[in-house]
Amino acid sequence: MSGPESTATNGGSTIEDLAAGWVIDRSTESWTPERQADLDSWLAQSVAHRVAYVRIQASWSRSDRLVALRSPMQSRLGHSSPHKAPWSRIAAALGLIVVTGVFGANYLAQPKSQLIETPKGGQERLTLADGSQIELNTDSALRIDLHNRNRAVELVRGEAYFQIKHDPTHPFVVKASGRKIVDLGTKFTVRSTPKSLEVALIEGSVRLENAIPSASPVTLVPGDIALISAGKLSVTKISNNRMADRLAWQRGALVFHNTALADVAAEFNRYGGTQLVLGNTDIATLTVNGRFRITGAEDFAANAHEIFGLKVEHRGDTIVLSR
Amino acid sequence: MTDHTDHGRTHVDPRFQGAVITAPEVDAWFEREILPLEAALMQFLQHNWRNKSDIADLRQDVYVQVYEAALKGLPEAPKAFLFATARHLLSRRLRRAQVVPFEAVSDFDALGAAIDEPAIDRAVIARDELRRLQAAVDKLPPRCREAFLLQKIEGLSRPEIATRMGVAEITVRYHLKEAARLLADTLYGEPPTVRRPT
Repeated sequence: MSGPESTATNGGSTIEDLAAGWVIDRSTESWTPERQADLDSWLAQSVAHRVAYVRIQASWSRSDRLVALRSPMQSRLGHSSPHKAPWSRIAAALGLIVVTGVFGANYLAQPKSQLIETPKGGQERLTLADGSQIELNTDSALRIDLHNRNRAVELVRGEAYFQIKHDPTHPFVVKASGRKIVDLGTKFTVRSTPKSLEVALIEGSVRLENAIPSASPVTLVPGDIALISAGKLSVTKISNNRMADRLAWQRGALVFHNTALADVAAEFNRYGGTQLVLGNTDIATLTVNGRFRITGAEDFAANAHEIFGLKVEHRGDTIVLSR
Repeated sequence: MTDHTDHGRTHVDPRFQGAVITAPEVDAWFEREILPLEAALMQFLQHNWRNKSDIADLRQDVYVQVYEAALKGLPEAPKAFLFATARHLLSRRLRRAQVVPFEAVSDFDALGAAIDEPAIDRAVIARDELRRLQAAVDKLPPRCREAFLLQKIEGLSRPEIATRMGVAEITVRYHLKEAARLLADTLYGEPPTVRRPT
């Protein structure tokens, strides 16, 4: 930021600063005819004012085009994808009559565990007997231990959001990639891939056990993201709104902040549907910002064409991006 | 830039023939013809003026003169007119300083290069626009960028942004103001070919 240095010069910076103030205030709800009159008289005071204002207003208006990146994002929640199978159908397929009450129902002659799976592009919301909620993202599998009194699930693959009713005498445990995540009253997500395990804590607290062999448990606080990859654990902190953006999949959206194009493509591809393929490796690091529908790979490709000048080639269910 | 009150008429010199040009018309002309040349102008100024801290002021003075002239009649060849104005201004400044700084280049021929460079195709600019915008936004300081994105992309009001960012509204205003100022510098002042390493 270059604030403090912009004091001395009478021609450039100070006028620019004032002009920038007018430009941004003019688009607020609290803009009044009186303020407009003030602006008009400021503009009339000197051509220098007017020129500075015109210049900054012009680029500020231009930046409105970024909104083009915001794909129409109706709430697609609940029917977020054509692949989505309603929970009842999966339950029936599994021969599982009710999931609600499952933890108290262990006296029934039931298998020891049930596997809940979502196809690519599917999402599932489960409500447990105690009111806890689990939301499974695309291409994920969750094993629910029905047998003993422990509240325990295993994320076999993929990603899930947990909103757990805390019970100090029966802690809720998520197992994933051989690790244990113990709920201490909380909302969190777990994402498991063959190479890594990621736990993001939204509210409350969780304890991450045996994150790395023979390490002591790590307790996460809200905003923390723990990543275990290649035998190493790292914990980073992100802001509330970044965290909210990470959960945008629950509302059928993907949000990218300075995300490498390769990661963006991988993210879209997780959800099945049209697959994005990068034709050259040197475009992998182009950075992307924006918000897209989960099913919006084609919209994204169109934007990538416009923003990066990439060639977009449709091959069946695949879109190849190249330079 | 056509939606505010017209003060331009008072500046118009009746001796000049043709229709009276209004300030909003000049605003639009300035935005369309002059601002896209800013990167080239900055290059020219930097090339031909030693004291880098004067550059922003010089640019502002050039713009003022160009704008004032345009109120009397829009120049036919905006690019040539802009650079002629810049050259005059630098010459006058040099004379006034009475000392020719060592590096204050006498050869304003760099100007020739700037003028002769192939005109940037408008279609290219349009296609490049979003990419440039995105690069410009990426260059903003983090908090500044966050406030900007929350307003423009998320469409949040200033109080909402303040809540989301956990800061006072006045701080949000400061960030947005910085964003507006810095975006203009990047979008207009930097050569379009510059690509940030990613």
